[in-house]
Amino acid sequence: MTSGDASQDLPDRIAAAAGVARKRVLEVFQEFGFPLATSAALPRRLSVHRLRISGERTVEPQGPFDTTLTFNDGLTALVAHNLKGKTSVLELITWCLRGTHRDDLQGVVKSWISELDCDALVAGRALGFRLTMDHGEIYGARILSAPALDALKGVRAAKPAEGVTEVVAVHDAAAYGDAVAGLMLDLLNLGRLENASAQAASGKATHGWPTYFGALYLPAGGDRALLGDVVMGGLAGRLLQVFLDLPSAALLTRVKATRDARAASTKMQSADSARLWAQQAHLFEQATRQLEEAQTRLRQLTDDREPVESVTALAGAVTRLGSDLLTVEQNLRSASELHVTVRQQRQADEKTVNDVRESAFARAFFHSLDLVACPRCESPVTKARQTAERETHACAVCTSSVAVDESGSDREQVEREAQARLAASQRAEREAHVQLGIAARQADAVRAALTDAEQRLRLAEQAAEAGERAELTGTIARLEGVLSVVQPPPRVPTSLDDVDRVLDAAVSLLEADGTRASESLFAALNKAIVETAHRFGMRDLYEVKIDRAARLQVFKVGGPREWFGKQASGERLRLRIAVVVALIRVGTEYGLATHPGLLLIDSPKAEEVQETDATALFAELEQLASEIPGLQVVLTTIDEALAEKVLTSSNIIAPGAPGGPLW
Amino acid sequence: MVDAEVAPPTSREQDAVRVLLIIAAAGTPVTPATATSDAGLADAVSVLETQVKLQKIDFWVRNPDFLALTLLKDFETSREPYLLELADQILASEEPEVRRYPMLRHLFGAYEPLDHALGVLRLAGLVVRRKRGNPGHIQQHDYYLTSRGRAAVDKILLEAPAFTYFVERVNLVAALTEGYGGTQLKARQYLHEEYRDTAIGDRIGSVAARARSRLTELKAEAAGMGSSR
Repeated sequence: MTSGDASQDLPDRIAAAAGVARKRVLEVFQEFGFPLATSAALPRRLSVHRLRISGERTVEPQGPFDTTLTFNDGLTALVAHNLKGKTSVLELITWCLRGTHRDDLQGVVKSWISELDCDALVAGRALGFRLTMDHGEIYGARILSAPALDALKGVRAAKPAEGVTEVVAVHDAAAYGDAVAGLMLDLLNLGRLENASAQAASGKATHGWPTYFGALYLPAGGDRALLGDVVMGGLAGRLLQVFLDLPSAALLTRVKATRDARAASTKMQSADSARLWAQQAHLFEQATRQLEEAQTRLRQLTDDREPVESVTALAGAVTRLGSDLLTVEQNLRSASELHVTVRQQRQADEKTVNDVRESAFARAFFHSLDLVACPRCESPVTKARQTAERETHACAVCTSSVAVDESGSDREQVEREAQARLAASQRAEREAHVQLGIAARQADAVRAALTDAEQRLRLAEQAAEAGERAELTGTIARLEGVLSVVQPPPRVPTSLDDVDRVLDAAVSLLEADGTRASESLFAALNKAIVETAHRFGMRDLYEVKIDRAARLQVFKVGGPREWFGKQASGERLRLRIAVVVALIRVGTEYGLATHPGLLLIDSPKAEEVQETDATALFAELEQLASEIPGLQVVLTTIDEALAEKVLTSSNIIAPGAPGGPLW
Repeated sequence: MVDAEVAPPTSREQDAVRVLLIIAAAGTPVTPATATSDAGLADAVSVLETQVKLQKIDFWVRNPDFLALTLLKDFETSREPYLLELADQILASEEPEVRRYPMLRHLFGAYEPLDHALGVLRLAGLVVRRKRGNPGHIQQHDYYLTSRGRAAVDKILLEAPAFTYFVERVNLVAALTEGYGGTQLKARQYLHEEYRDTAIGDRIGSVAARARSRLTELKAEAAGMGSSR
C-alpha cells in the first residue's frame, strides 16, 4: 500500500486509498468521533506528593489518627512491618488517583477513614483529591485545582482567593470514579483503550483510566501481563503502543475497534438474514407444495351439478339392479340356448323335408322310366318284359311280381308330416327368437338402469364431497395469500459500503505508519530494556525483543529463546520495571509522550530469592529514579535494614515508633 | 340337441339323381375321335372319368362347409374375389347345416358306396359304367352318360324344383373341378386337417365354424387391403 506520501495529510491519503472523496472521510471520522490530528508529545507526567489519611482506628492503637505522608520525586520507600499499613498507602493513593480502589484494599481499613486527601501533579497541573467517607463509603468528593502544590496543603475546599478552584464535586463513589477517569484521560492526553469484544453490548469493550493505571501500579510478579493488570484482548500491546506514543496509535486502536465491531455486526446481520431467507424459502416451498396438492384434489372433485340424491338409496338401487341383471342375463342365456336348439331342430326338419321331397321326386322319376338293361349283366330288357311289367306287374328284369305302387299316398303323407314338423319347429324357432329378443331387451334395460344408478351414485358421492371442496377452496385462497407474502427475498450479496472502505483504508494506513515508525523505536526500546535489566542483576540477559503486542522474547546467554511468561516471578518484576524505565528513557530521547512516570511497587523484595538481587534492585531503582527526570517510584518493603543501607539518598517513610503503624 | 350327423341317410333314388347330375355336369363330351367300338356306348354323349373324381365331387356337393373352406384356401393363393364371394354366400346361408350329408372317411378319402345309385341309373339306361385297364388290374371306372340320361337330366331340370339346389351346386363344383383329375382333387381335400385327421370309418365332421371364422378374417384382410390402396 502506498501510504508514504508525507506531503498529504491523513484524510487525503485515506480518501485516495478508499476511493472516496475527502469530504466523505471527514464525515466518517466525525460520525465516529475520531480525532484527525495525531497527538504530539504533550506532557503526560503524573507524580504524587502528599497523602493525608484521617479517621479512627478500631484496632490497636485504637483511636483517631490524622497522618500526612509526603513523597519526593525519585524514590520513596515505605518501610514497615507487615500489617502496619504500607500496602494500604499504595492502595489509598490508587483510590484517589485511579478513582476507584482495588479489591486489595481491606474493608476494615477503609472503614477507619473519614477523610482522604491526595495532592498530585498531573501533566504539570497541581490537583487536590479530597474524599470524605463514612463506613468506607464515599459520600463527598472534590477535585481541587491549584496554581501550585503548596496552595493545596491543608485545603479541602475551593479557595478562589488563593487560586484553588473546584474542578469536580460529586457525592458517591461511582461518580467520583467517572470524574477522575475523565479528568485523567483528558489531562494526560490518553485515548480510551478500545478493543473489539463480543461480550460488550456495543461490540466494543472500552478500557479507560483504570486500565492505564495498571501500568503504574505494577502487579505482583506472578501476573502474566507485561504491562498493565488486565490480561485480555491485546491490551498490553495497546498500552505499550500508547506509552510509546506510536503515531496515531490511539487513533488506530479506535478505528480498528470500530471497524471490527461493524464487521462483527454485519456478520451477525448477514447470518440473521441468511436464517430469515432459509426460513422464508422453506415456508414458500411448503406453501407451494400444499397449494399444488389442494389444487390437484380440487380438480379431482369434478364439478357436480346433478341433484343430490341419497347415497344410501342409490347404493341400494345399484345392489338390487346388479342382482336383477344377474337374473335377466341368466334368462337371456337360457333363451339363447333354447333358440339355438330350436333352430337346429328346424334345420333338421328342413333337411328332412328336403330329403322327403327329393326322395319322392326321385322315386317317382325312376319309376316312370322304362327299364332298359340289367344292371348286373347289362342284358337288354325286352319289349315283351316291359309290357308284361306294365300289364301283369311282373318285374321287367327278373319277372317276379312287383307290388302295385300304392306308396304314392304314403309318400305324400310322409311329406305332409315332415312339412308339419318343419312348420312346428319354425314356429318354435320364431317363438324362441321372440323370447330371445325379450330377454335381450330386458337385459339391456337392466344393464342401462344399473349403469345409470352407478353414475348417479358416483355423482352423489362427489356431492357428498362438496364440503371438502369448499374447504379446499378456502385453503387454496389462504395459501395463495401466504405465497404472495413469503416470496423468498432476493439474495443480495453484502457489499462493502464506503464507511467500511474508509475504515479499512484508515486501518491500513495507520498500521503502515505505525510499523515504519516503530521499527527504530522498538530497537531502542529493546536495548534500553536489556540495559536496565542488567542493572537489576539479570546479567545473563543479552537480548530481548518486544513486539507491538507487548510480547517479550527473552534471550539469555547460552539459553534458548524464552517468553516473558516463562520467567521467574522476580525476573518478571524486574523486566516489567525495566520496560517502564525503558519507555520513559526512549520517550525522553525521542521526544515522545510516554508512560506517566509514576511507579507503585509493592514489596519488590518478596519476589527476590537472593539478598544480593534485592540489593541491586533497590540500588538501581534509586539510581534510576534520580537519573531519569519524570520517574517517581514508590515502593514498600519490610526490610528496614536493606532500605536504610541501600537507599541512602531516598525518601524513607517509616512508622514514628518502631513496630507501630505507618499511619 | 339335434345332431346333423344323425340326420336321415339319403335314399337310393336321391343318390341316383345326384350322381346323375354330377356325371352330366362334370363329364366331357364324347366326340367321334374319342368314340369306341363298344356297341354299349353307341349312344354315349359324355364321360366322367374315374370313380375317385366322382367321389370327390360328390363330397364337395354333399359338404358345403368343406367346399367353402376349399374356396377360401384357393382365395388365399389366387386372391380371386369371386372365390371369397362364393364362400361368403355358402357360409352366410344355412347350407352347412341343412344341406350337409356327411361321408365316411375311407382309406383313400371320402367314400360312399354308389353301386345302388349306379344300378338304378344303369337299369334305366341313363349311365353306362366301363372298366378300363387290363383284366385283373382294374385301374379305373369311367361313367358314360347316354342320350336317355341326357334327356332325364333335362327332364329333372325342368320338372324337379326340389332338385334346383343340387343342380346349381353340382354345376358349381363341376366348374371348380374342371380340368382336375381325381387324385389332384383328393390331394386338395387332404389339405383340411379335419378331413385328414378323421379316423378311418368315421364320419367326417363339420368345419362350418372354422370356415366362418376364417371367412371373417379374410374379409377384414381384404377390406384393409382395399382401404390401403
